[in-house]
Amino acid sequence: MLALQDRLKALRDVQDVYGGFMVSTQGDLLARDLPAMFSVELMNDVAARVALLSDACRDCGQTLTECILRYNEHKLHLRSTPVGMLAVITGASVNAPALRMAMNLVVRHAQVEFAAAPRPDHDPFDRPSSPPSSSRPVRMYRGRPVQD
Amino acid sequence: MVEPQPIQVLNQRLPRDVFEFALRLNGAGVVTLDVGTPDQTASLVAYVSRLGQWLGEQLGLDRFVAMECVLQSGSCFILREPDGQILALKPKTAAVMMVLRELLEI
Repeated sequence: MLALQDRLKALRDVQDVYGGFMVSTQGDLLARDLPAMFSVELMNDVAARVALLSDACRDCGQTLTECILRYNEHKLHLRSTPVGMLAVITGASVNAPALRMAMNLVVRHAQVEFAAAPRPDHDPFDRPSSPPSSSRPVRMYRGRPVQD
Repeated sequence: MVEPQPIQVLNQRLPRDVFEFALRLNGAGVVTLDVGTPDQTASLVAYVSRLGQWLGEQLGLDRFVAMECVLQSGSCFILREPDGQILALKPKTAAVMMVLRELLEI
C-alpha cells in the first residue's frame, strides 16, 4: 500500500494540511501520512471509530458521502470512497476548494490502485485438509473426520 | 395565528420552515426541541456527535464545535452549543446550507 501512502503525502501540498489516512469499510487502517505523534495504536482506534460513523448513518438508512468535523482550531475531513474513508486533518482556515481537489485526486488514484490490485486466485478459506496422521483411511461425515 | 418560534442557532435566529427537521438534545440526551424529526434521528445525532467529540479528543483537535454530514438525501448539520446542548438541523435549501456553513465556519 506504499503507492497510496505516497498519494496521501500529496495532500500536504495544500496549505494547513497536517496529514491524512485511509480507512477500510471494515474499519482497518489502510495507509497513513501523519506526524509521528499519531501512533499506530491510536490510529487503529481512530480508524475503527471513523468506520462506525459511516455505519451508524447506514443503519438509519442514510449513506454518508462526506463529513466535515469542525473543532476550535482544526478540522477533520472525511470522504467516502469505494475502498472506505479518506480522512484529512487540517487547520481551521484550510483552503476548502483546493483540499477538495486534492482529496478527489487521492480518491481517484485509490480507486484505480484497488481495481488493479491482484486478487488471490483461490479462495483463502478453501484450504486443503491436513493429511491423516496414520495410513489408516479416515472416515468422513459431512466433510469432517469421524472417530471410530 | 401565532408564528412559530424561530430556531436560535448560535447568535442567529432562523425561521423553522427553512429546515426539513430540527432537533435539540440536552446533555443527558433528552429531546428539548423536535420539529419534524424522523424516527431514530435522535439516537443517530447523539451517537454521531459523541463520535465527533471522541475523534477530536483522541487526535488532539481541541473542542468539538460542529459537523456537516453530507448524506444522499442532503446535508445535516450538528453543533455543540455553548451550554453543552446538541442541535441538529437539516436545511431544505442550498442557500440555508451556505448560511449554516458560514455561521459554523465549516
